[in-house]
This record gives sequence, C-alpha cells and structure tokens, in this order.
Amino acid sequence: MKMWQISASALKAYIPFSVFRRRIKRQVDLLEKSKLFDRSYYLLQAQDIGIQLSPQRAVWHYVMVGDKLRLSPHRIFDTHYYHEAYTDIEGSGISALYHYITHGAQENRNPHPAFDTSYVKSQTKLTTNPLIDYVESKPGSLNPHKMFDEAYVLHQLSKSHSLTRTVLEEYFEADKNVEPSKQFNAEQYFDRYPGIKNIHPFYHYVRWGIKERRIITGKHDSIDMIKEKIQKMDDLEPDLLKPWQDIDAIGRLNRIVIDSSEESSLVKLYESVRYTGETFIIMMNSLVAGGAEKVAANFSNILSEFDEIKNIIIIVTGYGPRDAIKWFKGSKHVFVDLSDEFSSMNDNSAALMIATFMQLINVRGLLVINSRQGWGLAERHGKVLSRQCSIIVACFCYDYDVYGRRAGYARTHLVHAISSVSHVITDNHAFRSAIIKDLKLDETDAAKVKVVYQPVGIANAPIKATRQQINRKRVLWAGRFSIQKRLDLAFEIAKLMPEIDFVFAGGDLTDVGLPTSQIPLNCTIYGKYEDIDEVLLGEYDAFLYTAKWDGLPNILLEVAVNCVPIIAPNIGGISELVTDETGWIVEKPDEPQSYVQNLQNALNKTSQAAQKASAALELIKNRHSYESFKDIVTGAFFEKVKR
Amino acid sequence: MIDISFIVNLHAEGRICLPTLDTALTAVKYANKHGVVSELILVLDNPDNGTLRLVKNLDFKCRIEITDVRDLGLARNFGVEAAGGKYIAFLDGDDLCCDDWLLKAYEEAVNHDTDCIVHPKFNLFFGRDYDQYFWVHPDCRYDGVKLSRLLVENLWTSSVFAERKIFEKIPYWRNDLKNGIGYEDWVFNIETAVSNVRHIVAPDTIIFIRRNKTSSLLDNSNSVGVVPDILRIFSKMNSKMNVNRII
Repeated sequence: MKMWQISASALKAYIPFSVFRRRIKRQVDLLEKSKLFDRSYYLLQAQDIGIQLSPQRAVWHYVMVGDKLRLSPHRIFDTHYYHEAYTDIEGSGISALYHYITHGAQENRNPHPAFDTSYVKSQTKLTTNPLIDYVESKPGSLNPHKMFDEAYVLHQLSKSHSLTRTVLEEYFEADKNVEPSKQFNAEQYFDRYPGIKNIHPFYHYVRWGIKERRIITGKHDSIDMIKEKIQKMDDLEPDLLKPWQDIDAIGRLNRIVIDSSEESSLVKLYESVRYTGETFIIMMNSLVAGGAEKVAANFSNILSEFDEIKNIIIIVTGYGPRDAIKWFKGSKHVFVDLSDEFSSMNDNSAALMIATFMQLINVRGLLVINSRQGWGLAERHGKVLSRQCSIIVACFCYDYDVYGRRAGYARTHLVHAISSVSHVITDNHAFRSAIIKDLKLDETDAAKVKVVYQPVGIANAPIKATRQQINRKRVLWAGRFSIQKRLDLAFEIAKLMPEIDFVFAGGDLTDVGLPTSQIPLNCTIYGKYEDIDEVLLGEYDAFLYTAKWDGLPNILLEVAVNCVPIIAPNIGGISELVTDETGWIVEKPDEPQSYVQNLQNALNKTSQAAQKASAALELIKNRHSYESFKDIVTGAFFEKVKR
Repeated sequence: MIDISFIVNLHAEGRICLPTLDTALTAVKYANKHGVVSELILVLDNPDNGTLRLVKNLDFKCRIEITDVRDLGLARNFGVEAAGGKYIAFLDGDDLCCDDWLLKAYEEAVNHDTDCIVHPKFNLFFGRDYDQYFWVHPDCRYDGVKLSRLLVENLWTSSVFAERKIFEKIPYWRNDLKNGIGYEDWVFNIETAVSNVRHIVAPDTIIFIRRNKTSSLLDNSNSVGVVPDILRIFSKMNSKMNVNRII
C-alpha cells in the first residue's frame, strides 16, 4: 500500500501556477469546513483502491485526485453519478462536491440518484443546502426521494438496530428485504433483472431503472381473494405460472401511487399557458448567454410582436446558468424549467409528454434550438404535430469531437428528423449548402432548409471607430474560452506580435486550460462579460477571431456594428460577412502567420481599416436589421397551419 | 333481452385463442347461471386461416362475426354494432378472464349512479419466459385519479365493461401507426374520462394478459413513436380545462 504524501516542494511542482493554486485552495478551504465531506468514509474508499491517506490530507486528495478517480466524499454524495449526470462540470476544473455546494444545489442538481434535491427543497421550504438539511434532520422527518418513504424505512430498520447515520445511508447498508417504500421490493427487482448483479436494486432503479421504465413491484396489495382464480386458470394455461412459482411472491405494480415526472412536467407546461389564443413553444437546452440563446431570443422577441400569439413558452431542458433570460423582452415569455424532470425521464417519454401537451393547446409553432429532447420530439412526433403547427429546428454549424469527427445535432439528429419537420433554419448559406450535400437532401427536403440572417442592434453612434491615442495598438479577442474558439492559436499570434497588446474577453484564467507560462506577456485576460459593448468601451484597433469551426457568429455582427476592423478565418459562414471589402479574411485558418499578416495590414493601414469597417456596418444595416428579420420570420416560417 | 354481450376480438392468434375462448365461455355461462343473460360474440378481423379454422370447429355455440376493417379499434366498434346486449365487454383474443368477471363487472355497473366503465381490479401479465407481475388498476371512486395522470399514462387495459350507449357515443378510433397515431384504448380512456364517464374497478376480479407475443400492437406503437390522437378531443374545447381535476 502506498502512502499518499505531498511535500510542499512537490506540491509547488504539481501546481506551478498561482491560478491553479488559488482554485484548489478555494475548494479545499470550503470542503474542509463542510459537513458533506466525511473523512472516514473517504479514507475507506481510498484504502479500497490501495491509497493510504492521513485524515488531514483527505480533502486535498479529493480535490486534486480523488474526484478524478470518482471517489465519493460522502455516502450520499456520489461523485461518479454526479459527473455522469452533469457532464458540463468536467471541463470546469472543479470537483463535483465543490460544484454541488457552490452551484449544483441551487440549480436543483442531485448529489446522489436517491437524493432528489428539488423534492427535499419542496419539503423544507428552505434556501439552504438541502443535502446538509437532510443530514441534519431528525430521522423520519424528510424524504430524500419520492420513492423513499423515510418513516416506513425507519420502522423496518428500528426493528434490527439503532441508527448512527441518516436513514438513507442506513438503508443502503441494510438487508435487501428492507423496502424503501411500499411500491418497491428489492428482491423482486433483482429477480426480474438479475443482470444488475451486485448493484443495489434500489440504487439501480433510481439511477437507471426509472429512465429505462423498468417495472417495479411491491407486496402491498392483497391478492388473497384472487389466488384461487389464478390457481384455477393455471390448469388451463401452461404459460401462466411457472412450476414452483409461489403466487404470493409475484410483484404488484400500482402505478397511481408512484409519482410521475411526466405528469408534473405536463402540469407545469399546461399551467404556463396563461392566455387564450395561440401559443408558440421554444425548446432549448440552456439559458447560458451564448450564440444559440441569442438566436432563440431574436425569434422569441419578434414573435412576441405578433398580436395573435398570446403565449411564448420557453422550455429549458438542461441545467446551467440562466443568464440569457435578460435577452427575452416583453410579457408573453414564460420560462418552464424541466431540467429536473427530464433528468429522470427517457427522451421518448419526454417527447410523448410534450406531444400530448401540444395537442391540448392551440399551438402556432415549435422551434427547437440545441435541445436533445426537442430534437427527439421533432424526429419522433414531428409528422403528427405538423397537422397543427410548424415544426422548426435550428442548426448553425457542425461541432467536432476530439477525433475531428463531425458532431452536434446537425450531424446526429437532422438526417432522422428532416422528413418530420416543416423547416430547418440556419444563419449562413455555407452551412445550408453543407447540410444539403452531406445529407443528400432531395428537392423537397432541401427547400425546408432556410437561411435567416440574425438581427443585431445598431446604435446611432458606434462606440468607437478607432482609438485616438496610439502608443501601443490594441487588439480584442472575444468569445467562449473553449477548444472550438482556439485560444491557444490566438496566444500564438500574440506571441508573434509583441509590439501589440491583446485583450481576451469571455472567460477567466481558470477557463484558459493552459499553463500561465504559455500566456504571452502582451496579453490581458478581461474576464467574462454580459454585453460586448461593455468590453468595446476599452477602444480597440482590431478584432481577432480564431475559431476552428463556426456558423456566422453573432460576436462578429456585434463587433462590426461598432466599426472595429475584423480579422477572421475563412470557415463556416464567416465569409458571408467578412470579405476583402468588409475586413480581413484569413485564408489559411490554421496558420498563425496568416493572421499576423492580416492583423499587421489592419493595424498599419488605418484609413483602409476604417473604410472596411464602414462597409461592414453598411452590410449589416441592410441585411441584419430587425425589420428584415421580422419580414422573413413572418413570411417564411410561422404560417398558420390549415387544420 | 340480452344483458351482456361479451366480445372476443380475434385476428391471427391461432391455438393461443383456445384457452381465451374457454374462459370467455365460462364467464358467460357463470353470468347466465346467476340470472344475467349473456352472449358470446367472436369478432374476427381479417383472420388468418388457422384462427378461422379453429373458430369454425369449436365444440360450443356462439356468434361469429367476420370483418375486414384491419384495425382493433374499428373491430371493437363492429362488435358493438353486432351485439344485442345492454352492456358490452371486450376481451383480446390471447388474454384470459376469471369466471366471475362479467357478473362482478355487471353488478358494479348496475349499482353505480352515473355512466361508468368497469375494469378488472387486477391484471396478471404473463407469458413464456416472462416475469409475471400484477398490475393493480386504480378506481376513480377511491384513488383520486387526476386527468393529468391519464394524459401521460394509460391507466387501464383494454378489457373493459360498460353500457353499450357509451361505446356508441364514444367509439374507438382507427390507429394509423404510419402517420404517428396510435394507442386507441388510451384515447378511449381519455375521451370517456373527459366526458365524465367514471372509470371504476370490480373488486376481486382479474384478467390475464399475455406478453411476449411475437409482435403486439403495443410494442409496435412504442417502437415507431406514435401519439394518442387527442387533438380532435381537445381542439373542440372553447375554454381551458383543468388538468388537475379528479376524474
């Protein structure tokens, strides 16, 4: 067994940069004080995989190594489950438990499949951390899950031993004949699904079984009065009972007493329809302030101007920040957050539930943007729903996986959904052509793919055309700090131009994912921003864009309306905005030197830069105005369906 | 005057229908013995030769009606038209019923004040290599069943018992799986519930439902992704209904 010890010098070598040290220290400080870090339990797990730790090092170990090894800091905090259920956390560089304490609990994420955060909150009515509330609660007073009747379990447990931990913890260590509720019998579940092997049946059910719609049974409904009838029928039908079958051991399923996520979702949706008249539905995965969410807001804001549309329901199907809400204007918008419900529902059930909801109301259209459940709905039930409304899906470009293969809904879902949808919208012609070619669309399906240039607000006076004071020139780079946007390439470009200052906006050092030694000295990290205009107040001589793949990114439109000269790669639909007349298009998008040459031109030829920036502004005024967007939306997509 | 017409729907069940018919006949005789006049009607919808031959060679008398509507819902409607009873009950051609099913359902229906559909209290899902389980039907009189629940989940199987007028007023609709429409029995349950027909159960009754069939309509519906066609029910409504209401 090896000892896990980290000397101060080794630690320094392991975490050479202040940013990482700060990030780790922040987590350690918080978890050291948290009741949700159970040192003795953690040490036991570490021991199981051959790591011996001192209790003082447990939290450090968890933050730096244990989280990646999926060791759990508490019996009812399941690190493996948390990472699997919420994949967005992996890239954030923080541990699962820290995420749950600082964000997850507030966003109703579950720390363990048998612990339903929002259900516990609904019982406590508190805003404090529900898992801590549960751990501190009197046994039997709070149910951690709708399928876990704490008083019922407590009654069974108290017969055998006294409690030292929460009832849920005790339950998982107790004999399998203890039932979590009258509706669930672990032995019957195991008999029905022996493939679960040594996984606890209740754990299996709440983690996978609910989504897979596995059958659960209990022993609560008495069958005494029908046993004779069953016995008699067995004489007639050899397949009815197996030899040696004990009739009493056959499970009983009483659906009505089991809570249904589908039902609560339907009620939430139905109650969100406030006014009589037409309703428009938008399904999106998140409300994080990004390009896709901006497109959703653009459509939604235009639709809210239609008199006949009385309700716009935005169904949010995934977790994450909700900061894009501010982009949705007007009183017709209602946000229905189903992230919680969908986390325990399979996609087919979600699709059927929403299709049912849509048949209950007067729907004008459905727009799907980046929602897996939305794409599933369009694919599975689009054909029948298009009897009553337009079914529209949006895609702007492919994503790419780490192997360089195409990904994203345009790749994975569109080919299956195209025959069921009314329209496919994108924001650039290049991608339209790519879809038609790649999917070999016939004339009818190709006609469904429409390009809608997104509108952008044009201020009376641009923030700044060029900088007044020119000691050192300054270049802005803005966007998500992600692999797609190629921050590393931008740093390389900056390194080749030490005489220029570069400002990077859209993320902070913790998002960089690079050692600080690779960040050139002429670079400044601006941090996250709410509105690009606030960044542009800093006055820049040029805007640099380095994405590896994209559609026609909104950020370029927003920069162009402020007359900042743009240098961008010739990828996706960018050349529909950035041309030799309107900016500098980089023909070799993987070569830093190509960007450098174009940047130098833009920075040195100031009058030409101003000219190009004005041309870009003119193009946007003509093509990306709200008026033209509204005309297209009105005419092309949201026609009334004749019933 | 016939009190109950018991309709067994057949299509291509082959030998499997023999125990079904045995139990149906027993249930009819049991009701008759207790003074409730009952008849057995076999509705064969586009039957295969094997099933047709078996039915023609039965050693007991019953009415045989043949149709070619090629749809389970429409075949049930056809059965209603052919039936002479005040009450009607359906049984699928591969399921089984307990001896007193008709009698107990009849007593429950007769004693209920308003329009109702009677379901068996228990269903035993069985089949070769299938892990049996009981599905316990809810009773709207006691279980506080909400419309919202019925809209997301079919709460009752298709072996129903009700007054003939209910089937005439609210007939079954054709499934159209190719165009994404199915679950005719679920639609029937929703439509009747919305029309204030109460779904109740007859205590101590059981229907035996065979699974692991080579291909069942339910399995087909689930795999191709169909929806219950409820648009035609709700598009007629002028005002917003209360989905939270107890049905």
